[in-house]
Amino acid sequence: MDREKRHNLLISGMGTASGGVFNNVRIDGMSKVNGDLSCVRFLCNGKTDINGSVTADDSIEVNGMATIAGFLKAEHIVINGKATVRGDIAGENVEFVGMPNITGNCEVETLTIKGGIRIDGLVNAETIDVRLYGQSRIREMGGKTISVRKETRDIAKFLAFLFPPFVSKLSADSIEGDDIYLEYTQAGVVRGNNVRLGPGCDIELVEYRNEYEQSPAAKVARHQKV
Amino acid sequence: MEQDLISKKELLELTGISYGQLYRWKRKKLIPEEWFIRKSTFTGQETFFPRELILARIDKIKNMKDDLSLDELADMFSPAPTDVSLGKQELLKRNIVSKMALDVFTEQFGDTPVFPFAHILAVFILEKLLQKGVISLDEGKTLLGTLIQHYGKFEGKNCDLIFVRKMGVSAFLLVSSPSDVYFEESAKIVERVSIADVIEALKWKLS
Repeated sequence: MDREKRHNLLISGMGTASGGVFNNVRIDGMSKVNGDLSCVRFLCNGKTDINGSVTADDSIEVNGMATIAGFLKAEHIVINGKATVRGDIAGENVEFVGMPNITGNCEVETLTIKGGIRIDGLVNAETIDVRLYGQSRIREMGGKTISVRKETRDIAKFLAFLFPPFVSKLSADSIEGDDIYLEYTQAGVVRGNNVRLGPGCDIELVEYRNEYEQSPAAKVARHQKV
Repeated sequence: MEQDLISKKELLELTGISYGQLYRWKRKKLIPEEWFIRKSTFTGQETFFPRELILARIDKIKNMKDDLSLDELADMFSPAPTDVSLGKQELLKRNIVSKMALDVFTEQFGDTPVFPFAHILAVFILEKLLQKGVISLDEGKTLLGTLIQHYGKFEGKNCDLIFVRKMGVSAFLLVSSPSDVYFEESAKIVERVSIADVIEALKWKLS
C-alpha cells in the first residue's frame, strides 16, 4: 500500500485492535491485537498481547511486557523488559535488554543482549554481544564475532544477592564463530578460529583453528586444534 | 532417500571458509535452510549438508562473490522468478534459446514481441529437453502448455518436472519438490528436471 495513504494506529489506555497495514503504530497502556501488523514503525509501552506477527519497514520498539505469537521483522528491533516471542526474529540491528524469551531463531546482523535471556532456536548474527545479568540460555549461536561477558557492575551483584536466579550464567549447546570470547558460559561445543575463554567457563569440547587461550578459572574437558 | 552427506566440520576444512562466512551466507539465503540437516552423533547434535549440492554452491559463491553483492547472489540462487522480460531477437542473439524452440512456442501461443520470465523459462526447458533428444516436437508443445498453465501455481516454490512414457504414450507432471513419486512398472521416467536448477542456470545466462 502507498505509504502516504496508510493510517496510524494509536492506542492509549486499554484497547483492542485487529491487525492490518499501518503507517505508525503506537500502543501505550494495555492492549490486545488480534492479527498480523504491518507498519513503518512500531512502538509499544506497557503490556501488549499480539496474536500474530509484526513486520515493520523501519523499527520495532517494545518497552514493558509483550507477548507476540508470531515473528518480528524490522530493520531495527529494541526490546526492553519482558517479552515473549513465539516465532523468529529477523532484522539488522537488534537489541534485547531485560528478560526476553524467544522460541524461534534470530537471524540478524548485530545482536546486543543485556540481561537474562532465553532463546530456544539458533542465533545467527555477524556480531553477537552478550552482557549477562542473570541466568541465560541460548541453544545455539553462530556468527563471526561472538562475545559473552558478565556484567560486573554493582547492580548485577545486588540482583544476584536478592534473587539467586540472577546468578549470571549462560548455557548453550553449541557456539560457533570466527572470533569467540566467553565468560561464565557452560556449553557443549565451542568451535572457532580464535577462541578465548575467560573465568567461569565450563566447556566440554573446544575445537579451534588458530589461537586458543584459556583462563585458569575456566574448566574445559577437552580442547583440540583442527 | 539416502543422500551422501558431509559434516559441517569437514565442509569448512574442505572449502577453507570460516564459520562466520557460512552463517552469513545462510542468513543471506545463499544456502537454503533445507540443506542444514541436523543429526545426533556421539558428540551431540551435528549439522550435515548434502555433499554435492553444498560443494557446488560454495564453489559458485566463492567464484562470484567478488563480482556480485551477496544480495544479488541470493537473487540468483532463489527459485523465485525474476521480473526480467526480453524480446525475441534478444533471446536468440544472446543464445538463450534456439530458433527451433522459439518456433514451437510461437506456433502454439502466437507471436509476442516480449517474453516475460515464465515464458522464457518454459522455452528454456523445452530447449534443454529438445537438445537432449528425449522429446519430440509434438511433445514439446504439450510441455509448453503444461508449464505455462501450471507453473505459476507453485508461486516460486521449488518444483520438479517429470516426463513419463508408457507404451509410447507420454505425459508431463509438475510436482512440488522435494517429493517422492512412484510409477507402475511399465511406465518409464524419461526425464526429471529440477525447475530450481533450471532457473538458476537461466538466471546466470540472463545476467
